[in-house]
Amino acid sequence: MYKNYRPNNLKEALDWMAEHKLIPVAGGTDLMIRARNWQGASRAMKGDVIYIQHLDELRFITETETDYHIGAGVTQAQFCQCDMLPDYAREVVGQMATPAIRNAATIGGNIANAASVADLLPLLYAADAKIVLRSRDSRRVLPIQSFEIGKYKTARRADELIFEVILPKLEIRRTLYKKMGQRRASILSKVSFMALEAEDGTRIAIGAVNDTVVRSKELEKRINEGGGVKSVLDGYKALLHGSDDKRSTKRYRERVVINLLMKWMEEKR
Amino acid sequence: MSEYQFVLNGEKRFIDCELSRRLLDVIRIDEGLTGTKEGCQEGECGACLVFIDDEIFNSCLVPMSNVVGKSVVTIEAYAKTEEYQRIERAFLEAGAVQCGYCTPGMVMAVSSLLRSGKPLDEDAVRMGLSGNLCRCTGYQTIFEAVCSLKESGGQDV
Ligand SMILES: Cc1cc2nc3c(=O)[nH]c(=O)nc-3n(C[C@H](O)[C@H](O)[C@H](O)COP(=O)(O)OP(=O)(O)OC[C@H]3O[C@@H](n4cnc5c(N)ncnc54)[C@H](O)[C@@H]3O)c2cc1C
Ligand code: FES
Ligand code: FES
Repeated sequence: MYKNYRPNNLKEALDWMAEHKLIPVAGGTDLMIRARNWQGASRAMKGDVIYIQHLDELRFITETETDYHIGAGVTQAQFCQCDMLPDYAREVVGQMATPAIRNAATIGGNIANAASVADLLPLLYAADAKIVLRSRDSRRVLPIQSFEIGKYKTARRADELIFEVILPKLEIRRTLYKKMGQRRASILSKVSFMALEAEDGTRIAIGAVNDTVVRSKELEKRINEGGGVKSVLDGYKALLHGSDDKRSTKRYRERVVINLLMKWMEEKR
Repeated sequence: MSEYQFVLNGEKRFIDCELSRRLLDVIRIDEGLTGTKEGCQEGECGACLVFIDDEIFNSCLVPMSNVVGKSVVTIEAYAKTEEYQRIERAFLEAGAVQCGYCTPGMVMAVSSLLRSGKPLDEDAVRMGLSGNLCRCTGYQTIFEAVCSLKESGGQDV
């Protein structure tokens, strides 16, 4: 049988996590499914758990001159409703899941879960977001690329919680976001494509194809310099490793990515 | 007795079960309130929707820890409100109920849409109900019922 810990505040949570190996539970929209069991039966958690959804210290959205700071406990619904945050980011979150799931699901949970289909990740990659991790004795700031190290794998140590996401303020001139799935709502993405044009040019992040999000500064540079379309498309094709799975086929995904890249580059001209 | 409490349909309750227990199991099994339905057990179908502090949640995914200090309202209590009765009449007028399994959850999603203040156009209604599956109606009559609420649908004559 596992133990259930419910801390009174963040300090208590981090103290307990320093002393015991605990699985954080936020909104539960990934974890409660993974722990599913018969009606009425105890949930099949894989170890002792610590509940963090009620911690107000993880629920904040603030800004500085250069960045937005979004607490890990902010729900998708709160993110969408926050006028301070930029439209391109709210649009991505507004297309995730369903209204009821968005009331429970947190930003931190999507990032920590590190699913290859997590729809927040292409946005965070394109924006060069950073993840702030806290433990009782440390605070670490990692670029999103260094945090997401594989499918369901992150650089989080067992004693750490994601504390916040730092989303840089960009001067956005143009965006193209496309979430392709079997239907429009509540669906795992076949492709989750984010293109931004910021003050320093194009940024492209492609999710749900490889184990982690695809982003290539070299190819972006080629696009910015007006390099040949074919060489750009071939460059991206070489980066897509996904295989056929129950969500889609490799061929379909490649086609979608190529079409979106062409649309993006045509609009630029 | 447990240090944790929540409010269920206006009445205070102590949480004596495991904190990982699903709110859905507490409602249906421990409290015997069977108006809230269980469909998919994985957040997809919306049959298990309840209000927590006036917002809709899939109770099949909510561990009891996440309702400590909160107010939960199930369809049994919501059915006594005027807003519910208006939605019910609109559903009846449009023939939006067949087996009825999805209906409690559907009605709660409609309520949440009404409260959001969004104009009830086709797109908003479809997005608002995107987390509720119905195996019988084909949805069209449900959309009609909801759209009728923006006129006089569901008002008593
Ligand atoms: C019907 C349905 C539709 C969905 N649709 C989408 C979709 O369109 N796009 C999408 O990307 N996802 C989708 N999801 C998945 C899920 O809702 C999201 O990944 C969500 O953001 C998870 O957040 P949570 O708070 O519920 O996480 P939880 O389930 O509580 O936790 C998920 C993981 O993160 C860890 N964790 C949570 N918070 C922290 C923290 N602060 N620090 C460290 N670790 C932490 C947990 O230990 C766990 O491993 C959907 C889920 C459902 C049920
Ligand atoms: S039973 Fe909860 S969403 Fe289907
Ligand atoms: S009326 Fe039967 S599931 Fe909707």
